[in-house]
Amino acid sequence: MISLIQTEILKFRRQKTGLIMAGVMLLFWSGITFWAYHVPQGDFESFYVRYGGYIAMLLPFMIGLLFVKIYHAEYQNDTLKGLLQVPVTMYQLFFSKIFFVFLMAVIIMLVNCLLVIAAACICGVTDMELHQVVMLIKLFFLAASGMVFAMFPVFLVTVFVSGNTIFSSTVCFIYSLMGIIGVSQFAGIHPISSLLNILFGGQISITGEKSINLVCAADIIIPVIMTAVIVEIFYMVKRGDRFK
Amino acid sequence: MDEYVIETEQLTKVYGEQTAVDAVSIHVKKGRIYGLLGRNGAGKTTIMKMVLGLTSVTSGQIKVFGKKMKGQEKKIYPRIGAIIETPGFYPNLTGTENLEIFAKLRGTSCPDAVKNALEVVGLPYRDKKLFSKYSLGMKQRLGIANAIMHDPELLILDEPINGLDPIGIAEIRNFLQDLSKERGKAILISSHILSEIDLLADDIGVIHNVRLLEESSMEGLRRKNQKYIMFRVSSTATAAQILEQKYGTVKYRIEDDNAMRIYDMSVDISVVNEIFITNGVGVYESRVCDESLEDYFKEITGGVGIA
Ligand SMILES: Nc1ncnc2c1ncn2[C@@H]1O[C@H](COP(=O)(O)OP(=O)(O)O)[C@@H](O)[C@H]1O
Ligand SMILES: [Mg+2]
Repeated sequence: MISLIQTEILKFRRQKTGLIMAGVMLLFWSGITFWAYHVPQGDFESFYVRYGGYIAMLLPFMIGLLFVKIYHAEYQNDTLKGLLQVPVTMYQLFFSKIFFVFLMAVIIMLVNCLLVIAAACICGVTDMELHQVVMLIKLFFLAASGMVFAMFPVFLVTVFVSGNTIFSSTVCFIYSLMGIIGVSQFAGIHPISSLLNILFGGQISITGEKSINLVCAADIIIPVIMTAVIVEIFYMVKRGDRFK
Repeated sequence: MDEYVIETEQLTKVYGEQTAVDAVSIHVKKGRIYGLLGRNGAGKTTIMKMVLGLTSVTSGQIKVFGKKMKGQEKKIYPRIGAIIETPGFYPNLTGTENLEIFAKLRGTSCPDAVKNALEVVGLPYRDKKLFSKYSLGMKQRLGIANAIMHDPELLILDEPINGLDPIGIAEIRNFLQDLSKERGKAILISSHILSEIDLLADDIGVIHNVRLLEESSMEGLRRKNQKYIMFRVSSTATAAQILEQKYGTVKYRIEDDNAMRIYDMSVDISVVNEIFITNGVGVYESRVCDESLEDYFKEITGGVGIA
């Protein structure tokens, strides 16, 4: 499994996707920084939580589309037949890709840690303390890993349509958008909304009740388990034929 | 004791309405090259996919190394190297990087495996060229390198010489013959090119319209084929008359106005020549020929031929 994940990283070489993601992130960062510069700011903690809430909304689009891309690539390049003969199972491949996406999410959020500190300096929020920076890193790391879990339904759909990019990208887009727009309404129903509520509750949502966290956590975990089971069954039934 | 490396029994594959492979039983032996010959759409690729477990079997049985594949994948796959149809690699990586990925996944122990495999197929090691910029022949070579990299006991090669230049074809042919003769590997190779199978294979399976028409060793097949004397004369009609007068019951066949074949090898070419000439039949050419495999396949496929 470890060598599978290593090869996922190797396969990402010279892909433009990495650059595009970096570009989107910078664009997003400059927008937010520009806006934050022109409104009065409070302390560093509320600054980074707010920024984190926004950047976390961008994350599902990025990791969902990244997964769709790398999953589809195996079909497009006709590499499945080679991998299956190694032998690598589809199930192992599926989870190694999720793990790769998780690594990317963590990298994205760590870069954002630096970006948010830079933004804070630009906007004149200079009351940073070491323990706050530690909290910031912890929050962003949680956002990265939590978001990967919250995206499992998209991974499931991607498997079901065997890498049809147009369909799975559209699903990813609608799914992410709904999770973000419905942060307050869909808490406990939509995994992305649930995650945003758990992590950034008071800042971005009107509910902000602590009691709902348990429901939200269940809302994230249950689809993950269901996906793992359904995908295993899917690969068992569809073995052969689908893969060249 | 007569253990086959691949043995299929009444192997059948049906895609929806269409039968792609119908009751095919093939037997691939250790240290021999088995050529699967058939025209496009005959079912060669489908047979190989089923042997490799890449597509489900509708009915029939497959044994690889004497075992059923199901449940034994981890043990059996590392002993097989294969290319099926077009080679599939990552376009954003170089040839070396692509092979390194597969070497890593296979857990290949030999550190020089990638380098050696590339050397064998004549591709440069650590070249900067990306797979997406490869020519068809180079892609095919990389596919072969990937199939042999982990030193498998069985090679399954689906039309491996597609897109290769003649020198490349000869190189690969020598290499494959070496592998089977010197190193005792079993090789199952498919092709729609008769001459290629003729040069390469020890055993042959002829697939036509999704059925196996013939399975035999090449020597056996060649023995079956008749020799004949081929005459090119000014008039075959007159020549035939003369032949019948002189020899009575000689077996011959008239091809056209100028060409005929005599299947009776006891007649003396020089004598026949003389008789023809003294009776006013011009002789342009006379020689002993083997009935070619091509002719033979024309016969067994009912005229359409095999390649
Ligand atoms: N996935 C598939 N679905 C439906 N029919 C197929 C499929 N693959 C192959 N066939 C059919 O099976 C027959 C044999 O194909 P194939 O094994 O590829 O032939 P060959 O490799 O000898 O050219 C062809 O008629 C082809 O159209
Ligand atoms: Mg084919």
